[in-house]
Amino acid sequence: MTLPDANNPVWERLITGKVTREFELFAIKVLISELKHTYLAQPTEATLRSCSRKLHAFFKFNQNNPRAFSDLMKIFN
Amino acid sequence: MKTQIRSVGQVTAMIKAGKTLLIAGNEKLIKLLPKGDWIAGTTPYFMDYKGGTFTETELFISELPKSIISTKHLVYNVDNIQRIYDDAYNNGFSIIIMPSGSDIHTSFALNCGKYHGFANKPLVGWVSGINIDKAEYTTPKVFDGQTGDELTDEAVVIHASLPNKKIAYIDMINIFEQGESDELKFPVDGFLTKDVYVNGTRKNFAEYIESNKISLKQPLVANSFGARLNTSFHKIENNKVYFYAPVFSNTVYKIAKPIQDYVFDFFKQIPIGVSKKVVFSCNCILNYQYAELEGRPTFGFAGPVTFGEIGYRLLNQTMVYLTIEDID
Repeated sequence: MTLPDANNPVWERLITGKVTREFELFAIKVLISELKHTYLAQPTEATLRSCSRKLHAFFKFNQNNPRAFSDLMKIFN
Repeated sequence: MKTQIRSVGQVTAMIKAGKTLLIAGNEKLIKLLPKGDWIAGTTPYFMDYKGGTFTETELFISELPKSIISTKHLVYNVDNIQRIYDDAYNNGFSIIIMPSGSDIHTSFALNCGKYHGFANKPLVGWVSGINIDKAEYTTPKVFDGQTGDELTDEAVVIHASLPNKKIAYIDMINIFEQGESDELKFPVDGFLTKDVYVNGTRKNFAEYIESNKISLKQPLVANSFGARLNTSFHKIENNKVYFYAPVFSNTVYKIAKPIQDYVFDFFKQIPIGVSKKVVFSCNCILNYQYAELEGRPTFGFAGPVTFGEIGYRLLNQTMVYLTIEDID
């Protein structure tokens, strides 16, 4: 699958907790934990947009990482 | 994994042979080493394959694999640590050592999640310490082998690059999970607190711990959206509670469930066959103490026993490890 773009609403839903997944990759667990805390501390549209872009950027940077790909499949399949 | 306890002479020979080494041990021994492709931190406690080991007469080394294409050493302080992920290779990993109780330790613990590119590239490492029976006479240190510099307030890092067919992963083993206790929140971020909110009611935390007969061996556990993260108790002094990692004000904690068999619980979580792929691992000093690891087998894992583990962020009472795998 190709990486959905940064405007896909699922990224924001992962940050707000409306979408949840059990991730395998430790880096994603730590990153999402951090992004969710950032959003909870300042729950604005701008924070949500910034956090979802960081999450998208992680998957974009790690496109060749098999475990990241496996977790990406869990999000969008 | 080439991880082992060696004499100063043997480590010197490895450095002169051009090996890339991660070194842990007594500072007097580290200072005897020649310059080279190594970084080091102080601790006299180790996980050897034969069991937990204490030594101040030998060094513990982890040799990085030959699959590494290149390395670069960088030293970070509180003003430039924010760029650590930007400095890392696009495919590779970074290993960091920082002194316990230093400004860089505090700054990293509180702010690492805000660094540009946080968690995008593998970052693993440890917090250096001391012989806890000689705490008054020495301070935790790190060393950059390329310059020979001895540092007490900076972090040393080896950034390593890998070929495209290899990939590095960081993983953590944490035996603790949240108990059925009260929900605990803290008024401010930090390594110490006087007060705690217990199910929303503000109380003195030291008094709460005493009145509820809570063992300081059981860490606080945050079930942080899929990642169970511990904050270990350091001490209670002058009615304040001190931690080995910061608590965060926007996080809900619970006291960990008691552990019945520390060693069994720990090592049953190790994925089958993973120890053969491990390039580097480290384990918390509190696991070493509470599990009474000295002389007991560590199930194929070897590495320094630390005063904090780093897997992207500061961790407590865990074992953290780095593996390198082939990409099909």
